[in-house]
Amino acid sequence: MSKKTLTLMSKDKQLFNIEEHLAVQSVTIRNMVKEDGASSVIPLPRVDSETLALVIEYLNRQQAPEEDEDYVKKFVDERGEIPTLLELAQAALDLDIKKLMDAACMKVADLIKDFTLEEVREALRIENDRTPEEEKAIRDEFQWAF
Amino acid sequence: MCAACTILNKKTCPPMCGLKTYFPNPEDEKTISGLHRVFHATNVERMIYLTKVDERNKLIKSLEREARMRIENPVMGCIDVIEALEKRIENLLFSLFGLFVRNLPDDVIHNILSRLSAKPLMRFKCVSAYWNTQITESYFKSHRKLLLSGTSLYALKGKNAYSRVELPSPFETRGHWRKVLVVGTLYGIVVLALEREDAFQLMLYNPLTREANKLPNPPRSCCISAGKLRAYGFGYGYDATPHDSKIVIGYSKVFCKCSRSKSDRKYCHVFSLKRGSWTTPETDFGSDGILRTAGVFINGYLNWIFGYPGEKLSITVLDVEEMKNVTRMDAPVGTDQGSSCLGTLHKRLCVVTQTNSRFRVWVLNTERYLHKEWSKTYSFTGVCIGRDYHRLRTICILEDGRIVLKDSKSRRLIFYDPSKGFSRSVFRCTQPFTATGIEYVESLASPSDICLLR
Repeated sequence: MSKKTLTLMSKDKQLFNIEEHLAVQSVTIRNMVKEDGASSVIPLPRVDSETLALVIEYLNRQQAPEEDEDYVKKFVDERGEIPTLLELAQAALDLDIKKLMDAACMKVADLIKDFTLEEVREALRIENDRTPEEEKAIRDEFQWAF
Repeated sequence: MCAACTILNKKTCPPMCGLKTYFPNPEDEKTISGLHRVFHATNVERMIYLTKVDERNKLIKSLEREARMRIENPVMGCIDVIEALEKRIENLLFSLFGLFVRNLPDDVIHNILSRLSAKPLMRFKCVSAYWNTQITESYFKSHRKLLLSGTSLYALKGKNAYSRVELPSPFETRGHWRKVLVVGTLYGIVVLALEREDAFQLMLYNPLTREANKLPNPPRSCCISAGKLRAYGFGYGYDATPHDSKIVIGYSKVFCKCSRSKSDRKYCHVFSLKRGSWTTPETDFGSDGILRTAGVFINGYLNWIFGYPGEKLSITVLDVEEMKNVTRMDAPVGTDQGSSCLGTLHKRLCVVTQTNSRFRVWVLNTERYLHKEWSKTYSFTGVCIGRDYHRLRTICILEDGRIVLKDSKSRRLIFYDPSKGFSRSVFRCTQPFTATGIEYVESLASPSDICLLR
């Protein structure tokens, strides 16, 4: 089997090469390859170069199937910062790499589960649009959760 | 004579005056004097000379502006403005990036939320209005399951094609308990009453995590310990103000055969999940009938169908917060102890009655119990082979308005959707089932989250 190489382009126009048989772990790329052979560069307008480098590193992993789970877990554990993980999850969503997406989201969920509300908003950059009254109503209703 | 040559103190414009085209009139003197002060007119002339003809107007314009700014701000010139603008762009880009991150794709948010356990999930309803709706709407809808109980427990999931899971018994030994009754549900925890010949055990159970907590038995009382489960009415509801959930056990006087004096007899026991203990209020369920199985909780009231089979039945209503008054109201025509089913439909109390093959769905008109009026919303004819209509029984009414029936002979469940008609389920029970059913929302809440046992 000849090893064909694909080129991926990040948001900031950096180019990354990856072997086709590894790249097709992404359903998005697989479909592109099926459609037109994907001879040209595949642009990923929402993925920045640092994230894409991580994705490439992930796709290039050489693990035995039985060790794969652990590897994916370790892979996201090592990048345990929420902004990185969110970027990674978004990239995995765009590229449709389910395993990576699930692992990244799992890690984020794991990290934020003990956060205070303010910390969650800060970490995920969510604007607080709840009034104190609304917040109190929820607090009262779900007292056991607080 | 052009304005430039005037500034340069020339007597006349030279024949090839490079500046004459751009500053032809003496009124332009102010502009050229600024340019002259900053760049010197001869330099300007040279710059014009070095620029392509069609770009010279642009050059003059930009030089004019640069000169004006240099005069206004001799130290920084236009750099001040440029720097301020650069800073602003950076800020805008940053907030745009923030916007990008804030608008995380829904798929990512759902994926994250689906991995959180009930406690943080309910807490994060406060994070933002968007999260609140996401958590309530999509999460709760997609995690709705039907729990069937009889001699064992089944969880059913799916919209049309139900898939069935037989849940492992939360009980110590299999077959030890004769029957399981689902009393109520809250946040993914169901309250089960396990029945044995001479006793029962209440239990909090999460069908998803399979975690179970036994609840203490009610204080010893003549009737509770001696009777059969059928004689009792169970109920599960919550207060509006002190945020407490209560499990109610009530029974009618007619079953009390003990030797205690009448004033010592108690007919109601209430377990407070918040306090983790039993109380015995003076609630009197009356003596002329039996409460049937689990009460239906709605708007702060628990409701049971009450009376003897074959007689005119009523609905017994208990205010869960006050725990004092038991009121009665007439049940719709045709209500029968064995075949009628109490439930909720669009947040109102609802009764499904059955006369032979005809099923009628009644809804209570007022939410307050002042003018109790039942109105028939629709009726349908049950389908069953061989016209054995007594084999059909209503089990429960689902949140989306569908009615679940069972066919006791074929041991199948039948779903009736008012907009679509019948659909027969694939679910087939291995044992004969005297099923009761309840819809619950899957969550990872632990029984100890809602009940702190001392």
